[in-house]
Amino acid sequence: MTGTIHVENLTKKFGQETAVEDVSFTLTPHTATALIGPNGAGKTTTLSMLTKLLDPTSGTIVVEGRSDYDYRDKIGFLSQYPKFYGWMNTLEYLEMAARLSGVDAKSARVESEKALQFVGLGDVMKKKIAGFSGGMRQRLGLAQAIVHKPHFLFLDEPVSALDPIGRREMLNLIKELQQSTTILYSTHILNDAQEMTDQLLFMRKGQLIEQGSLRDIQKKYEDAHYEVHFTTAEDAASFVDASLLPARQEDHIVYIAIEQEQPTMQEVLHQLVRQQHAITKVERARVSLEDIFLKVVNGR
Amino acid sequence: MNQFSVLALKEWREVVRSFKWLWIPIVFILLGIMEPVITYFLPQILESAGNMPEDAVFQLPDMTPEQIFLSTLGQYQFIGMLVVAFAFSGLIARERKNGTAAFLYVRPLSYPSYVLSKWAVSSVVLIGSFILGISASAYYIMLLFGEFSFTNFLGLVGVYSLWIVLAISLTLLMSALFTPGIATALSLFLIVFFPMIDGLIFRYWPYTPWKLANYAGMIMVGEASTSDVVWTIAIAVLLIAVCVTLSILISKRRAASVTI
Repeated sequence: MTGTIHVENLTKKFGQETAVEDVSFTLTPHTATALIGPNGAGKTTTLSMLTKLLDPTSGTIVVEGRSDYDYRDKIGFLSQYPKFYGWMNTLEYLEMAARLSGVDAKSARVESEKALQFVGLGDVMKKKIAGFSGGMRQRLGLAQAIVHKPHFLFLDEPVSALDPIGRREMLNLIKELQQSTTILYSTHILNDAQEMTDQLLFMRKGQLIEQGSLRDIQKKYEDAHYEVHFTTAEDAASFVDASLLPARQEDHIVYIAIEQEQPTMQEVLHQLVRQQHAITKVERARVSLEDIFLKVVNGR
Repeated sequence: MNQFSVLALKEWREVVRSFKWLWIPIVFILLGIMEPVITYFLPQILESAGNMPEDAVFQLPDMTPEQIFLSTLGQYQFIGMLVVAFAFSGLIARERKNGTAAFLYVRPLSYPSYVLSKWAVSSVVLIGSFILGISASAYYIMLLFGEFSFTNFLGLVGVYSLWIVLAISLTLLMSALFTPGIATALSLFLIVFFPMIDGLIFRYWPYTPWKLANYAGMIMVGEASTSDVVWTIAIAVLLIAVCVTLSILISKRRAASVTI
């Protein structure tokens, strides 16, 4: 039960406008779930309800087997653009975060130092936050979210404001946290979701329109085919003419459709060897998350 | 109590690092000193200003120490209250608008501790500044204008301190209710301009808490009616309690409007 959340028929209305409608999903322990959707899809509203900043209009959130209780000591939250008291130093800030989350005075200092070491801010504990770069702020934001060892970590676009190096560092930290925490994060950066996600939740116009593991969703939306890269377009054309496979050519690339797992890779390779054309690459094409995103979210 | 002490420490650190602990007492001390010193040296100031006809004679009334205290309170009522409105009207509203409050609201925050910590630290800073300022004023008044009743002086300090707590409570309520700009405007109206309107409109109703500052002055000159003062104090205490309670309830209700 620890580390599990069941969201059932969650709805949030602002006057006549429905921001989130009838959303249901489950977060299982020590998994990372990506909440994907375009701007205005309802991702932040969903996170706001999970963090108890907003009350749902209807629906329930069952946290570790119980609903309708204050579970905020069990959660950590990092907003997209975390705001800080710039006049505080790092350690003061983290100690306050720990104390307000229920950590006793004795342990608060130790836990704060541990969290700062974990996010790589151990050498700036006495520095004022006002002078921090965007990357440092994001890491400090993560530190305040984990200082009290929460069971759940909710992250709103945790890496979208970071440069590639900062993004990589942050993703590594989040991956490490996954071993001890249940993570739900919203993102626009689909490569990141592909890399560190057990479950995907696609939202559009407040509704959850697709959910499942990356593999299941890829399978569902897959346009299965092999891609063969020849050195020249002539070779590619010659292969298509001579082959009995369902192939079509685009410049120097040949696409071979797969239906019910036929033909097999072995058969494709066999044909290639027989025709003795020079090739640079053969692969079974995987549908990218971006393709799925466009199909699912934009209805294409 | 645990959360209160953590949040009060945060508020206190903010007061220290934003130098409110320094500039607010300085403003109150300067205002306190200015009145007796300027009044005492007014003839010399006018003389040194020049451009006066040679035979010009100024008949300035002899001021009593109590009258100088009234003038000092007048300064506090205007400039002092401007300081209160501008320095403290963003206590809750600004945190909510700039998003720093999200850090607090996603934790198991006790809203009474949250509001009371702000109320207590602000009150301490302002009452401390007022006591320093009025003490500096008293020193110069005694030096330049002679002695006054110390008991009456204590009465003035006590009643005006209550007015300051009421001003802070009203400002905090505006901050809980509105955005920073509107909160400042309404705080200015409630604590700077409304006492003037109250003096005109409610002339024959002596118990409005906005008359506390007036009563502080009247206690100093020995003209206050005890029953009027006691009733006004009672109503002021009640209004403070209402303001603080409402601030707690509204802060909780409006937590969802925090920028995240």
